[in-house]
Amino acid sequence: MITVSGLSKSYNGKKVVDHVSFTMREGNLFALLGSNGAGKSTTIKMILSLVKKDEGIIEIPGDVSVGYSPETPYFPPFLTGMEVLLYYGELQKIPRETLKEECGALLSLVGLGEEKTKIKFYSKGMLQRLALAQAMLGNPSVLILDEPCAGLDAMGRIEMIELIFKLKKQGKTILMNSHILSDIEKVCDEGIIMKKGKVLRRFTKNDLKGEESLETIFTKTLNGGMQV
Amino acid sequence: MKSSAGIIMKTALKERMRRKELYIIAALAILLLFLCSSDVTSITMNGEAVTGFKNMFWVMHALVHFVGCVLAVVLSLHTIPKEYERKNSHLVWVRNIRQEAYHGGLALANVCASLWAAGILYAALAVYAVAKGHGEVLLPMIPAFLILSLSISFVSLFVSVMSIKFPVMAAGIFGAAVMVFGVFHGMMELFKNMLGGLGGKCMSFFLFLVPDLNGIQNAAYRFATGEGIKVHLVFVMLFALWMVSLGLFVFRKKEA
Repeated sequence: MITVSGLSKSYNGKKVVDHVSFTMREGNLFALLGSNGAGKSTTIKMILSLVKKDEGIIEIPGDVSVGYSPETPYFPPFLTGMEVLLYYGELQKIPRETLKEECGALLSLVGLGEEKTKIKFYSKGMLQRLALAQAMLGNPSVLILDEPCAGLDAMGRIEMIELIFKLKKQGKTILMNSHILSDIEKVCDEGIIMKKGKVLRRFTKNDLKGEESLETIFTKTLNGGMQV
Repeated sequence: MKSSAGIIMKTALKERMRRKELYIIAALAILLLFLCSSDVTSITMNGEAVTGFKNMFWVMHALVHFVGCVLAVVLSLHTIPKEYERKNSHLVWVRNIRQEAYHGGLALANVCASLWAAGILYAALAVYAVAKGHGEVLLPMIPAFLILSLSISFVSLFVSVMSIKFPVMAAGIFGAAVMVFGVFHGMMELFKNMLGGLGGKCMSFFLFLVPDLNGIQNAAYRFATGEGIKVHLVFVMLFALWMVSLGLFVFRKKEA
């Protein structure tokens, strides 16, 4: 569905993404794993054209629409969740007649409801849910989630992962970047482990069916520095 | 279907209006106006106390204009840089919105918020006029405010455009410099004549570049008090506004 090949990016002569290649398959959840500074977020930003790539090819078919949830979502604090969704929906040129209904449904889906609470009173978990809701505006076929569980407490993480799993079951193709391996393990179909901009290992759901947990694979890969 | 800039402006303005800061600043400015107009303080010009409604109204009008311009700088300086700092811009770019539409919408929201704050001050000035028994200025004050708003809009738009290209500190310095040169245009002209040499030439250059905001303020005052105005000043100001707005299309901002 989305193919990335030979993607590279340097900042001030330092390579932060180094010839990264992968393919996301329709209906799958693809995970980008790695420690801080591995180049996960930069890779995501290049796919979204938020950062200019130095080299490589990103192929996204013309009929594929993409929704994006940022790592640290910030929304205007004096607006309500509904107003935020209406704002982004209008920017997306979603017809006004269907927009309000769609925003209401999305807020219900992420468990926020049509409450009148202003964003400034939102918890971190509520902000992440709202970020996910705005990513789903216009019913995109691909969702790109940058650290959707960042800053959430245990319960918040469980709820967020359940939500992502629900979206996957609905047929969404998801690219997700996370530090929390146990979360990824529950929902992902395949992924890559990155270190210092390079892909060290590729894995699929089948690799996780054995005795090795994703955490073991991750630790072994990073310590061993195996490269594919 | 609404334009992207219009949608961005509407939302940014709605957010602004709900914040308390705009009203606190305006309340403080009104308090300042009240203090200046009360018997507690006396305003002197050339060593003589300013008395009589017309003189006091002129002073207060100039004060409203000055405070309005200061508020325009304060309210417009951070809007665009903060959008980038908080990465709000990313959620806009992924929706294929062009930079000029994004910046244009935010700059328009700045202009509207600045005019709203100036409007509150102008309303306080109207209350002052009525309290002094000069209700006849109320009606002409409405178009007079439109004239004055050209000056406030210019300062707000200029600072917004500068904040696209330059860091906040530099944009603030440029904005304050333009405001001071514009608001005290007449005084600066005198200063330029006194200076001479290279300093005088530099002053001449700045005064040529910066529109006469004081002239606009005077025009608004004259309109409010039923005197004639120099229309060419209004056209010069409209031209200056158009020139500055070009910056929205020319200047590009890099992601933080």
